[in-house]
Amino acid sequence: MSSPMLETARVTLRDFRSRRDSVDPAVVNFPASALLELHRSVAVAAQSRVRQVVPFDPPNWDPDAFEHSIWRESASAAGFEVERIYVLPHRGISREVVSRQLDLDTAAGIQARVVFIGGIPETNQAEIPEGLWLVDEDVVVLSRSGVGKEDAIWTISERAVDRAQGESFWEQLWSWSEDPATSSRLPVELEEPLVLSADLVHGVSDVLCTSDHVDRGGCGWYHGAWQYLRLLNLVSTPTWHSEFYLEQIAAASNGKQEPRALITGTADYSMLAYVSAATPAVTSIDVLDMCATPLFACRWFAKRIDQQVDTFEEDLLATSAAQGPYDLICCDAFLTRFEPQETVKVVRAWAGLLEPGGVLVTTVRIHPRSARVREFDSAVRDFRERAEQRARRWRPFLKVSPGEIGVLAEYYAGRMKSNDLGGEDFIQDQLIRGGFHIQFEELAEVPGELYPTTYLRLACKKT
Amino acid sequence: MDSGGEKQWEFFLLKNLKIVHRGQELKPLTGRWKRELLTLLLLNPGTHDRATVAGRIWPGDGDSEALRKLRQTLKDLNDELGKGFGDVVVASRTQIGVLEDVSVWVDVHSIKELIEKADVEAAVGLTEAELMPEISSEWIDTARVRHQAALVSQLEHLATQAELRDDLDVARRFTARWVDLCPDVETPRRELVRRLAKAEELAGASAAATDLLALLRDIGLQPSEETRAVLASLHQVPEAEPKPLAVSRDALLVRLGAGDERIAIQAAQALALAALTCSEGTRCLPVTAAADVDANEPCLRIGTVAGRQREVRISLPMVRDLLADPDRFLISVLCQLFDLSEDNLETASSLVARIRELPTPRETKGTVVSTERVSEAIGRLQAGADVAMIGPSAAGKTVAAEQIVQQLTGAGWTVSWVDLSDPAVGAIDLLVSLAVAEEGPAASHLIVLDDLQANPGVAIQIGNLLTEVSPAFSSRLGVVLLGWDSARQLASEVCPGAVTIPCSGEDLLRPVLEGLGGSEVEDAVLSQVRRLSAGDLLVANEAFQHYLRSGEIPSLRQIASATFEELTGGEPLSAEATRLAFILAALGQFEIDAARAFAEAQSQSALEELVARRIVRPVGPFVAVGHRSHAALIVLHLRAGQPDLMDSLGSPVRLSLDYLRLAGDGQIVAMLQRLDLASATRRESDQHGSTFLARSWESIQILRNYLRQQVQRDATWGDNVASAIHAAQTFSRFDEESWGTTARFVRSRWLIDASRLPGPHGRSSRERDDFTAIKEKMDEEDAVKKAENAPVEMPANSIDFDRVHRTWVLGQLLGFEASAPGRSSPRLEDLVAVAEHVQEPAGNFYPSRVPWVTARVVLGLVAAGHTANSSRSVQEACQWLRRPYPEGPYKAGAWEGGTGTWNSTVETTAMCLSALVRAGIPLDDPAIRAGKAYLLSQRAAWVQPGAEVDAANALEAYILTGGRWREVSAELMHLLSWARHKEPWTRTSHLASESQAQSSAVALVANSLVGILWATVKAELPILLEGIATEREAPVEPAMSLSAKDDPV
Repeated sequence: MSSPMLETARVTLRDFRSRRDSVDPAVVNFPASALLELHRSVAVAAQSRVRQVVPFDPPNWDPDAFEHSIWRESASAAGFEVERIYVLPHRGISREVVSRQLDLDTAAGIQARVVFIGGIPETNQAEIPEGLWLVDEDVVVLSRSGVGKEDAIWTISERAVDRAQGESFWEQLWSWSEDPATSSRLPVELEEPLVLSADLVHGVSDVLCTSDHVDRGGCGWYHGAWQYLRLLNLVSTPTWHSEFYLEQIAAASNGKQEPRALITGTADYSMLAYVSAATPAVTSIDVLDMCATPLFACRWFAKRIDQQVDTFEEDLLATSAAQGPYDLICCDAFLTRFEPQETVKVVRAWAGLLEPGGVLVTTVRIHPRSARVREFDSAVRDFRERAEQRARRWRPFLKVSPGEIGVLAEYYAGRMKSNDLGGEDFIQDQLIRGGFHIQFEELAEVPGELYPTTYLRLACKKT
Repeated sequence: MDSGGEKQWEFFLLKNLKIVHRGQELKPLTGRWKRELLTLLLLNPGTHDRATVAGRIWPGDGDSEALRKLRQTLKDLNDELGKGFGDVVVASRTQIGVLEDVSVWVDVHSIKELIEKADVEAAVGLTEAELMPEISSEWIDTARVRHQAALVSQLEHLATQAELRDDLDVARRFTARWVDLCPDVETPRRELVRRLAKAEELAGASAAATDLLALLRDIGLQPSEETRAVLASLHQVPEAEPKPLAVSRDALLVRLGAGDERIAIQAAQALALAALTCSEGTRCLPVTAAADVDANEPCLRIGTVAGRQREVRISLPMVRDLLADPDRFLISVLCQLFDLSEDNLETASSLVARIRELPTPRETKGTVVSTERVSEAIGRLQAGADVAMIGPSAAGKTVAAEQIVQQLTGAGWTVSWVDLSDPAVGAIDLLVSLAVAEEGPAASHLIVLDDLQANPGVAIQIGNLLTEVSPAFSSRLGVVLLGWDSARQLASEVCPGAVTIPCSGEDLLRPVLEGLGGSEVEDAVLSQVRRLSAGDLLVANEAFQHYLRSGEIPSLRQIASATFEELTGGEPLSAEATRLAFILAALGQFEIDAARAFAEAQSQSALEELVARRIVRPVGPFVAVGHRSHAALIVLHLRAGQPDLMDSLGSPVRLSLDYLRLAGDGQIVAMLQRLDLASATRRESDQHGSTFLARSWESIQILRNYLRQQVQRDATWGDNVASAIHAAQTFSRFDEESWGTTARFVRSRWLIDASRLPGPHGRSSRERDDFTAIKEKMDEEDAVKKAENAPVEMPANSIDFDRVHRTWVLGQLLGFEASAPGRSSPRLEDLVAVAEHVQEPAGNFYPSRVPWVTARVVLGLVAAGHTANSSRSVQEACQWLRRPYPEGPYKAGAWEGGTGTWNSTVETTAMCLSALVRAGIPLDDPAIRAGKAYLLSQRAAWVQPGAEVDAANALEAYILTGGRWREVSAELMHLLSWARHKEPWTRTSHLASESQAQSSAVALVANSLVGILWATVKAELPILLEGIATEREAPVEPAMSLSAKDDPV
């Protein structure tokens, strides 16, 4: 006779199993540990067609693994169709392993497409499942994310509503997907290496971050979080002014043989990517910042794109190393890092580094005149929640968890400060007094970090 | 009473227990337990588990003590009734019962035969006898309800039979008794009125009708169609004398009430003519009123409507009733002329003022813009179809409709234009417009319903109205509906079969500009205007006019300044008026019309100035600055020109939020309905969540429509009160009419009595089948436990599932009655009293094995306004819920269902958490914190197929315990996707025993989602409005490179 504790434990376990295995007669649940058996079971029972959504995690991918080879074998049988949509983080990552998988699929008769997470609209709340298979015309197999892969439940369902949801998700993914042949020819987007560098920069920031204009006491909280927040499109970067930068940088360097470009203050390599992309004639780009972390990120990126870059760990207001004069100076939302009374010094420093006729391309945040509708604390909380929410979609591809990213985001939002320099008239006045002619100005509403925000976009020529 | 047969044992349970053995009445049985046991067994023939029987009679005792008492009582019973009684009661070691045997007769089981054989007096007496009044126990309540249901059914049958054989007195007697048994039900009361009237007992009928109407008023229901018909037929009257009397109204009223009907009807005619006349002496409806005294029943004849020969006859009692209030008379005449029920019309007194001010035909602008869509619409209308022109705000729909009107009036059509953005406009305006319209040469009348989305309720009323009145017209009625993308579904409801013509400002841009300029517009100009206006035709119009004047494309600020200049005529406004204009425009850009009282409170003189200068227009009880784009331009101008205004008053978003907080939920709903959120739902970026919120609002609308459609198909949800009540919770927020329909079903299906658990009227409603399925699952659980030698507390076979069902329904009914618009307090108070009465000493509600029943009752009590702080009952129930196992149900961080695999621990934990939090238990209570952590740990299970009810409960509990919507947005969207699929809605009438799932799942999930989403939308209004403002407040200004450099134009 067992002890009451064992009796209770047995009852509890039996109850747990009966629930986990499903009490719905139209549903069967498999634990993730039985995933290979599930593959076999479905491969044997499927009659004519299987469509699968497969998350593709390049560092852990083996094209010859059983769960891939068994479907190639099925696809080679007459009258049996297999279609797969691979979900990848970015277009330009691990192209070799992706190509190998796609080549094997094509040879076996599998029709495959690829979809990139960066290309899925952020308003789509659906998380990428661990897997979704539509089997013949009546059954759906799916494993929703939300837990780790090892604990995932794989459900086989013949309920019409589950099937319809699966079909709908498949169609949506298909509409966002690309034909691999076309996709491989498309250029890599400027932001693409983020998923690779974010963990790296986060790691080095602990060592390299000392201080900058944002926080003289140490900026690890800023630079360590920055790339995650960029990946999630939560922070102000050149991407929010993409067309403006590409057009104005190109216009500023137009006609110059070897234009000399300087980036004054940057959080990572984003501005470098734009300068490099918009000025093909540039041979070397200088980057100046007080902190070593963004400079490290710029060197990492420059190496990937084969761009010559020189970095200067210096304060713009006391620079001695930057090798002026330059044809072009670029920076994004840099001026508001300074107090209003320092604006004139910054403008003078820019003017001092530019050639006559050289151009400054930048954006300045314009603060609203009335109080915000949402309290600051509530906006910071929202920011953390949005970070966590968006990070879930990237979970398979990042080392840090959505929860950790949420913590980084909250700290960033609570500490980041953008100085109110006054209205656009004040800023224009400062630039004109500093020896600039305003060639282009535009007020633009951007999503903003904590609140919707207005920016003044400027292209100014040194007179 | 006569048992009517030769039986060895006869038992009389009505009134008091009487036992007759072989024709001889025995001495009254002594001892409460003996009487109770005997009654229980007699009422439930067949054998039963001893534990079950003991549990019913001694519920407060432990199993062994109860069984001991049962043994003793049975022995006492045998001893007192003698050895022959052993043939009646059979007992084994585990079983006990009374066999259905020819030798035993029980009066309750033969009630039908007894009543049929008795004379009327005796039969009525039988229905008045209470079943074993001396017993006070839960199980006897169930038996009494069953008995009462049998009586009701019998009385209904007997009354019908008597009426068929023209025995109206007997029919009336049985019906009156039927009313006694079902005092809160409409049908018996209506039948009583009808039968009294049929028996020509008019005074009685009238009194009964008054009672019936009072009842319906109390319970917040409108009379059914059948009841209306019965009430209407009551008012038949004899003769009266013609000739109007030229005397004062007071004197006429005296004569109207006179016993001499001829005088009264003359007075009626004079009063009617006065009521139909405007203050200027003109007739406000084109009708005449004539007194007809020659007819058998003198009456007032009202007729004829222009071009349409219609006449209504109003009897004297009705006239008396109506003419006491001339305004009501006017509306009634209008309704009767068109065979309308007044339900289709608003009843505000302001209506009459509008009837008396005949609507002026809408002026159309002179510009002729012929576009493809205008031509298509005209073609469709001329071919006999109706048209819905759908597109975003300021896309030129109204301009297009004006063109249609202009061209069709030229072709001999007449027109009615109803602007639904005016909150004072109702179906009555259309009626009046139709009533006065002369028939044109084309014999066709065009009805334009503008801004459909602004007032869906009135739009639907008008749709119904058109269906009703069309046959009364010799002219053909053609309809043009104008509405935003979000109103597409509404358009199809208002006018099924209308041809949809999509509209966009882009399409109309070139023809409008060319219409303004009189010549072809250059592509470069068109392109700049397009960029500036972003599809807003109003802005495009202003921009192009500026271009025509100055040769330059203006900036948005210049357009705003020009608009303001035009409004004010160049004369500056006073500082107070400027301030108020900013506030009203700030609200207006979010489609919020400000209450006039609010504007007056800001500054009455400023409001008068703005109204006098036509910058603001009064719209019923509201004031508005006009089109939303127009309002946005005013804000833009004042922001730029007077930045101090915004510093002192706050941003438009802040002003709107402050106003909405004052105005309440109704105004928020009105604003959301009027805002075109359809375009917001299609955005791909969603930095702060406004797209999610717009989609949430869209989902609320969709789910509400699903629920409403289900109610239209079958308001009983296949006789499932649980589903109906879940749906009613949603209707109470957004759809009073559907709530009323649901209430009619729920209130007629379950009887409420302050002294006992609610009981079904007749057989149990079909969600009772869930409890049969629950018993099976409990049996399985018990078997597993027995096999493992684990203890089984409160075995399934000891539980009274009728009582479980009724206790659970008690919780549901509490929530339902609390959701009543205006709350029907007597019913609610009765239910609260029942809850307090049936609560068990430990604080739980029956049965303790199933804690979600207690949670359900607590949720009901909380909905009724009671909390752990204000109600001892709620406090004790919450204490019990939090009490650790084995004294209470709280088991190491979670609550188990106690129902086998029927309810998961996730679902039960979620329900208990919701009950505790809503009851006011602090969020840092250890049980609540642990329960929330348990729910989160099971999050992956929420989205498993088949776990939709778990998900809905878990999401609700998670948000209630301080969780945030963003954290569970993926799960919310997943559940929404399920609820919006048609398949679950096809199973609304499935029995649990067939589907092995909760029969009310889809209604529960839909209501739960609506609740969560509505709370989210309300809480996050700042984000939603910020998102909308971002699109409109600061559009990209034209770049300096275009505006200041060489002019490309």
